Amino acid sequence: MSNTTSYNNDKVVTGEVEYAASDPASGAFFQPDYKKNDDLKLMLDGSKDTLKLEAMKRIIGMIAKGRDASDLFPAVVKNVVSKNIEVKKLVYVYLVRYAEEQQDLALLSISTFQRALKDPNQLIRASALRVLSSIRVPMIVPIVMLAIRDSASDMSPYVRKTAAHAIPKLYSLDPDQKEELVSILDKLLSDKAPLVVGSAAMAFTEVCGDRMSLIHRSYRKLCSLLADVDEWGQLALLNVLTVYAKTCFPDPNSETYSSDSDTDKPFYESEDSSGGRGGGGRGGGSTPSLDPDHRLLLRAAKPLLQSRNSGVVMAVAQLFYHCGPVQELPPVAKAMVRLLRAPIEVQSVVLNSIASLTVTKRSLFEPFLKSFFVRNSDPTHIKLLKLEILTNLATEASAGVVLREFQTYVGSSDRAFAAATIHAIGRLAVNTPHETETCLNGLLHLLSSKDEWVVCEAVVVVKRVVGGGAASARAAVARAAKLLRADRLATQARAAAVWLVAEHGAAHPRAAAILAHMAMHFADQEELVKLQVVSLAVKLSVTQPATLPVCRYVLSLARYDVSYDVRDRARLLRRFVEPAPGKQLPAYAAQIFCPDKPKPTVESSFKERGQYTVGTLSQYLGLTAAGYRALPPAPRTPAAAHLRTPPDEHAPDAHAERGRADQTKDKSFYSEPESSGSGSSSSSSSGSSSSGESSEGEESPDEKKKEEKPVAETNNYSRSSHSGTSDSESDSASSSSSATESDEGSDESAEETPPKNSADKKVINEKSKPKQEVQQKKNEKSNLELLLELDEVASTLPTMTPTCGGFLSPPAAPPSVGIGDVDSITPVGPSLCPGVSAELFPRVVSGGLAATRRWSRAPHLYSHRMCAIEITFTNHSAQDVQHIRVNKKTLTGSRAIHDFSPVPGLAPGASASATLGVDFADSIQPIEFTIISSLGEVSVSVTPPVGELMRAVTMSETRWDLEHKKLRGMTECDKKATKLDDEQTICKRVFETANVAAITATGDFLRFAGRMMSSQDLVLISVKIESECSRVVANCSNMAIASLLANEVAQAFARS
Amino acid sequence: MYARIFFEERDVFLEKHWRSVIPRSVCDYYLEAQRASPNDVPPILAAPHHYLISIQRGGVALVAVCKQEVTPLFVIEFLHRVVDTFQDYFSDCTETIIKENYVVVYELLDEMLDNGFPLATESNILKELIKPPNILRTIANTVTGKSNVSSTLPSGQLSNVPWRRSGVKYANNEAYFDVVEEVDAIIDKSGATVSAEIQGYIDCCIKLSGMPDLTLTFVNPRLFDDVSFHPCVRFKRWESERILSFIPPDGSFRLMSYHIGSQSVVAIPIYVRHNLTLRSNGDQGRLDLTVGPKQTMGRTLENVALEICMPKCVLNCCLTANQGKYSYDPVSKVLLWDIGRIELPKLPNIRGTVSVATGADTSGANPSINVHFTIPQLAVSGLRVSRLDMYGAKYKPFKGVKYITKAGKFHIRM
Repeated sequence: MSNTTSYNNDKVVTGEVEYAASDPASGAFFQPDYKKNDDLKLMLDGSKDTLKLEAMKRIIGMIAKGRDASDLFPAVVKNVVSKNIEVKKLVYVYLVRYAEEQQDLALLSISTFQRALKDPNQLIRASALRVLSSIRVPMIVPIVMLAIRDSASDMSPYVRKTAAHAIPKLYSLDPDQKEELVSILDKLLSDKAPLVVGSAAMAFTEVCGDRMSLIHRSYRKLCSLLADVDEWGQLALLNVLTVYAKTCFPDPNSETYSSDSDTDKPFYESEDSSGGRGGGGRGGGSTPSLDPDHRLLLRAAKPLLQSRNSGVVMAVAQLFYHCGPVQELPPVAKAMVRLLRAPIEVQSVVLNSIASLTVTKRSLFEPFLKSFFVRNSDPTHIKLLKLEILTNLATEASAGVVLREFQTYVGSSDRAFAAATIHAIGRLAVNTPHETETCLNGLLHLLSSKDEWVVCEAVVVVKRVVGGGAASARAAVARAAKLLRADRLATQARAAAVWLVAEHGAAHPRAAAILAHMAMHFADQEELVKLQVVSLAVKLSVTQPATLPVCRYVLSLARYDVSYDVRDRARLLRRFVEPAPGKQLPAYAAQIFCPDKPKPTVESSFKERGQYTVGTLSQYLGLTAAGYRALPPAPRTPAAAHLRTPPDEHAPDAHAERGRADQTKDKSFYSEPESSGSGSSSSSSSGSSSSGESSEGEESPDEKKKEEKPVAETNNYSRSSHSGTSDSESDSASSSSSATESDEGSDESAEETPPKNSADKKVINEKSKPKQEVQQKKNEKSNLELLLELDEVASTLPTMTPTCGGFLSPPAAPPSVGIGDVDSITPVGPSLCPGVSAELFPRVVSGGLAATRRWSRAPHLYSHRMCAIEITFTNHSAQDVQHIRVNKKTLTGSRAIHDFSPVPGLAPGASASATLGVDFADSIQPIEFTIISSLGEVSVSVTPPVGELMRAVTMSETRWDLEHKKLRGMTECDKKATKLDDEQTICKRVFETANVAAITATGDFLRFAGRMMSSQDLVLISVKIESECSRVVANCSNMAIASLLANEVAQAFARS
Repeated sequence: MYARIFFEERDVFLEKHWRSVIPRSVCDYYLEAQRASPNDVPPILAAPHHYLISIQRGGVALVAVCKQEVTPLFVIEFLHRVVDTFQDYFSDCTETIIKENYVVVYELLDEMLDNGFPLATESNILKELIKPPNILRTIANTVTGKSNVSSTLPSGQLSNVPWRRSGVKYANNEAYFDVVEEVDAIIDKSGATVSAEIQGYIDCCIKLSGMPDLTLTFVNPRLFDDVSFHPCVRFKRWESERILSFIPPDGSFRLMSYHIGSQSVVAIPIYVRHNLTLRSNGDQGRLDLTVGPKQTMGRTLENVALEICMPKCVLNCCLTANQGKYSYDPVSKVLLWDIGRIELPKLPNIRGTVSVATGADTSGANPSINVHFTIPQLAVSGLRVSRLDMYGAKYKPFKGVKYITKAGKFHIRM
């Protein structure tokens, strides 16, 4: 049924619709119906899982067929929360396919994934990360980044593997994240689980394939894990290690190595088979020792030649060919020959590689000559490759065998193959002087073939061969003469033979005889032959003047020929033979007819493929594919081995040493780690020179960071591996330490690297999350309701890590505003103090006492996290009110109230003010408390406007831009607002709404900045004045704040 | 590393995208190449901005499109693994079957490849993630509302033996080993051996409970020229002791494949005496073939079949065979002679006339014979398994070894 319905897309079969809908098991693969989308929507909106599943299956069918199903996006995306795992899976598939086209709607699903990222089931965690990172929506970059960072230190190796997979995805989505991703990658590369390492190697190749400094530390571990990694990982890992070995170890085949290759062979064999290093004194003396690390890699890789995966075998071959000593190549060749039993496609690739290897390393494959014999059943391209290899392999000794094979091939019914064989024979003739005679004989024989094709090819080839040397020319002419005499040749072949005599028979004694013979039978020849005979006659008359009479005779015959071509030719050429008086033509006849023609070159077409790495796409195609990276040239001296010493083998101070080493390493190998591609070639040449180059100035902060980063991470790694249970603890500790660390780092320069930033953010976020939870329930008017859910999800994080004592108490002692903070973000006083006060409680409630409150925007003395609220009490009653104070406080989370000092007494009509400090924990949830006095108790609630939860800070404009860039994506909230013409008015409105400071107060783009009271998150507001309206953008890593703030500012603008 | 995979059979019928969406038109390059020469499509094609890497199996072609430098064998090997998996799941991989099971196909592809990098390709793991469809389960699922998709991570994925799932239980514990040897040979006109090799496999079907650790020893392991193993085989022990030590995957798999190369002498178990004369002057040609056993070590040849691709000029054949049936397809010019078992002393013979197109060129035609045969209970290389030991489990399994020799690429040039 599917066969018939699948191709008639234009036909609308209404009957089938119901059928498909009612029968989920039917093979309703490609229902050609566009209207049906409506009922698909209905099915998806319904509550029945079976219907949903059926609908999803049909949608997947549409995708599989390549039809557009994007209009169903809203209906599908809702089901991302479905409990049915299969529905969920299919929704994921759909989402990944269409998210890029429907970015806004795709955001609706993000919170589900975030929740799933915390699921106790590792499979669900991993699949959530997979899908989340596959959704190509630039808005969610920070979220994915966070997710990757968390998952990279997950307990489950499977999740860590998924994190490694996610790294290149994020990199391709936003290349700016490179540095941070690299730091995660560094961690994953030093993972101990084989499952993770392979994927990490893959990510490494894609993200920063030339940054070998990352490998040093884990090199030995990677080598030892190689055998345990899954086959695809092995492939990726081998590719990475090949580049590494090429970068760090000198070429084993240069200088001393080649001299004693004969004695080496048994030594290496025995060493490898015994698996140990007990090569004995004999070997130790005679072999120049390979760097032990280099040897380690080769030894680890060698068993993989036995892999069932041809890709892995090829990768090992690549390693040995480019980095191994030449004596160890024979087993590699053997393994490659084994692959010839694999499917055609594999054969094709392997033969291609062998073909280019045989150009330079013929001896390697010589023993396997017979494996390359062609079978009739091979496809043409395989035949051609085998032919190429056979030709490359033929030596004096084996030429006979090969030639005999070629003879069989020439008769093949496959024309292209037969033609190629003729060419191959030609090459063989040139390459093996012994066999030239035999080859030529064979070729000339082919000239008499009935097949035009064969003849044409043979002529071309003979011409080439003959161009090779005088001896062969003689033989050829003799052979041609014999054939001509016998008159057995076909027309074209005869013409070719005559041409051959004309071209090369100048000095040949029999040439004249042939001419005479041909002249005798001139009239019987075909036109093609006649033309050649005329040429022959003229040429001979130049070189052998004795033949002049015959030449004249031929010309006169030609003059009266029936063919006008022949007549014309004769007329033209006669001028050379019978000179008119005063003409100079005959003087130049020799130059015209017998010039030195360049010799045709005969070489393998695979010669230039040798420049590409073995087994790559580029090598197969013979051209540089996009993204091809050549192997770097081997260094003269080996890179210092201590770089590869794993850190935990040494005392703690080894870190410092390694850090230093890293630094010099970077300089000598990759003078510019950021530049990809060209870096590798330029680097190794600089060798061991360690002096700083001109670029040192701008690089130093970078290097410094590099020096610090690995230290922090290894700490983390070793700690978590020791303690085991308290993974999360060490994690948070390390991230906090890196946060402080990078704060220091930024002393030096104004620019901050992303890693620091997000580490910083993370710590802060974690602290603030529990508090935000409370806040959520209230935000109803926000347009980003759904997104706000994110925070709620994120807030479950601490429950995952119960041992985290340091979470809520500020571990990264937020560089307490004003004093410790030197990163040029400095708090300033409020730009405007709102004079408006609001009623706290009216006098009616308490029987005479009234209170108003005002946001003073002054820092509270007790804690910098508290907002100061100025409360003014007025006694409207007739009696004294005594002892006004705060009584009951209902607080949630980390909120706190610092009581005002009690007002001892208030005379009637008098008023007094007090300052209350409230830590709102960055939430606009109201706080409730009661104020008690002699008149009784009044309960009060204060709802802070979002603008009061922050404090004004100032910074440079560039810094602002930089911070702004980091807070893109989902942490940004954008609002259209009424246009206000005056910048001052704008500033005023903004200041009224929020406690921020202006960074730029003039121009079309106004910048404001503040800091959240509790979390110290930066809050950035910008107002862009456009022609029609103005645009308010608020950024804050706490998205709820950003969205509220943007709303309020926009509302403030609307107020006039 | 790939952007997408297409499945096609004359036209694209299924597509899946990774990384980014590429228009389907990119496949035209492949289709064009296929149209030009259906049996000779190079596995790698370079389109202007993409590279198409393709395989063909069972009438279905899988085309992977990638944008960048990639290890071609990596892609090819993976595509083959995809087909293997489908065959494992659906018992075959054809257009109809893929279309019928497109949802499972999609789910499988999703598990197998993440962003162009293989994720889970072990069939044991996949089967735990996504249950293979069968009628019973389909009914059960519709009744109970369960799905084929598992919600937990297969245990094998995380262990050091990712190829085996845990908690395997069988009532009858069995382990079968098939030693299959294929003879590849080229025999020339005069009957001399041009090249001969043996390609061997050991295929297992192992149904053992728990986590058995098996050791397989050979009588004459020195025979092996070159070997390749399933990842489960411990290479160290092979290197030092020449025994196969492994924890097997559950079910059928290929334990090892080996090669006995052109250096050692290979016994050729069959000979064909042939005589084909074609004349270009319009007369009838003659064909005479006789098949006989040779060096079979006392075993009989079974399933013998000869396949001759006749020269283009041959119009028809009129033959009589003293054993078996023959057929000639005038379009593809293939003469097939199915002989069956060769019982001595009678030698199978076929003879008769061949009609040749008048005036056709017959000189260059030299067809070749593809020979098929099997010899049961014989490993032509002389390989023998000496014993199989099991550790790590208490029960006594039933063990069996079967030897069989087949013709691989066995060509006789005429």
